[in-house]
Amino acid sequence: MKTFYWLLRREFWEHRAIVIAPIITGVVILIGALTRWIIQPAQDPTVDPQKLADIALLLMSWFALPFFIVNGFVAIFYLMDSLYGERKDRSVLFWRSLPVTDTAVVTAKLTTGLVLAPLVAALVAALSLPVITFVFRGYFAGQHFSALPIMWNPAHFFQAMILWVYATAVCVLWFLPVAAWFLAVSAWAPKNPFLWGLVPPAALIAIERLLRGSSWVGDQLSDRLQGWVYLAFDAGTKAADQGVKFNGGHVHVPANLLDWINPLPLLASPRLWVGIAVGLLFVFLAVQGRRYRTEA
Amino acid sequence: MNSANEASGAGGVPVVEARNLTKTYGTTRALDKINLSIGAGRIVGLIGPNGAGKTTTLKSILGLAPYEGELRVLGLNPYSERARLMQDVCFIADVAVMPRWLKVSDAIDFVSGIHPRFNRARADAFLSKTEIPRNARVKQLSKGMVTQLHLALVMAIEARLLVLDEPTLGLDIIYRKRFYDTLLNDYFSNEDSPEQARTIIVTTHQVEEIENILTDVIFIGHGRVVLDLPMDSIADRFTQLSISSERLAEARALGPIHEHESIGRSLLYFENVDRKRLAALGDVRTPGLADLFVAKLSGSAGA
Repeated sequence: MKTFYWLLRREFWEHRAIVIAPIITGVVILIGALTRWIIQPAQDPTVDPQKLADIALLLMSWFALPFFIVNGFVAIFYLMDSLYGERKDRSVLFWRSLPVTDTAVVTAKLTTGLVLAPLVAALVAALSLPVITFVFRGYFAGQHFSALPIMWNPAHFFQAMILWVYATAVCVLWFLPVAAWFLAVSAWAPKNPFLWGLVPPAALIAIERLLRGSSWVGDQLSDRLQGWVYLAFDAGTKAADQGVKFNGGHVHVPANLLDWINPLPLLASPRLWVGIAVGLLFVFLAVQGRRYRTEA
Repeated sequence: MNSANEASGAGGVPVVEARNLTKTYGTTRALDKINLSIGAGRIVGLIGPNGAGKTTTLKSILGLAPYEGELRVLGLNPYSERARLMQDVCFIADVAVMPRWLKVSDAIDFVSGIHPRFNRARADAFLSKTEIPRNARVKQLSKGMVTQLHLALVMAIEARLLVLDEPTLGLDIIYRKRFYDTLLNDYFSNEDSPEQARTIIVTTHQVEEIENILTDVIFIGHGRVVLDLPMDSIADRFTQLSISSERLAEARALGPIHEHESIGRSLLYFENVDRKRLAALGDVRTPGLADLFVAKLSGSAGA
């Protein structure tokens, strides 16, 4: 356990992007919003408090999304580099001179990329949200009501945080085969793990289309990318949803954000379990690669 | 070739025991049925030209690569039991392998957190004798400092076997000298009991540098063990004879294993030929490791 803790810490020493990227995301969102505020100052002296509450709710429920998207890219780069990089700079000889099993190392890297990185993203999002809300209360300073209590609904905030952690847990299970694939590629690629990671799936899609005119592989990959959204969330189906008007559109947000959570279809889906089985196979291959391939 | 240092391992299980150790890369045989037995408490020099199989041998011993044949290191199978083996084995592959992004203080924390035999106070004491700043990253250190850092980490681990593969490669002469001094003083001096005795296996191109610290020498050429014997029996077995050309034929009749010209005189190398007989022909002395190496390897190449 102590060893595993140090293995995880070591990943954060090397890959500071896991922490820095979400912080930059938060800063960019803040700057972007401030810029908009400056370009387009509050012109409407009578904002509808209900509309403000709606926007605040929408903001809270979706706020982590850009953090998660950025994290997705960071995690892919991290996983592809993690086992390849140590071979390339030959530091693998140093790491492997320590009494740590290859399984423990691969598990630590997978945990970092698949579990800890999104949790860090969620944490930074959770810290950024009150800051941005607090700054933006000033936008409504001229109103006849006090904006902050409307914008900041603690119940919604905590619901949102549970929602993000739930989304992370779902993604850990759903994206296990993807993360483990990148890790296995990182362990085995003779050079350029990015090409080795991305070209084979693309080539499979192209070959299938050429030979059979079908798109089964592409459909599977596309399902892997977004299928979890439909399986794990009840978006806009509950009667209790309140319609939120936003920029002329109509977005469904439940009165209680936790109503979105519904893991049963996901857990009942064979696609999840097949994915996990394939993921464990790739983890096994990554461990074998760490053992067998000491040179880049 | 029989292992001449089996006697030195008497009383204890050999630290390294290889039988028919073989490694094939494609069609080339990097190691061809090597037999080795390295006893506890020895300082063994593994010497051979590039591509002779030194590094492959060390990699097998360290569990870094699969191999054929039988190999036991401290009684363990190094490939399948590497993690356990590394509790008792340390190695320095060469100066380039410390990760560049690692901070000195983090490196100590990490090894201290992970290694059950790491003695933090020892590492700190060793580092405080150097000019390495604790908050620097490896990439900011000079090559010599990186080696010192690596050595500090390794010295602080109470290991039974230390493996050094070209440890001084790319270092200037001051660091190289200091490296081996430290090695002998800090690492090798604390022999509590034969069971606890530390063993060192070292490879280097700078044969002269390690010549006088070795207890045993193993020559490897073309994937085979060419010579394996304790240093103190070199004088009994090998003689270098320096003679003028008129007595060359007479000397050649005694069967030198190698000869070469040097400033008007011929240098002939003999194995298992009585030194007194040779002394009658010219100047005799015990060959240095470098000369012996050339003699044995060029000899074996023709054989």
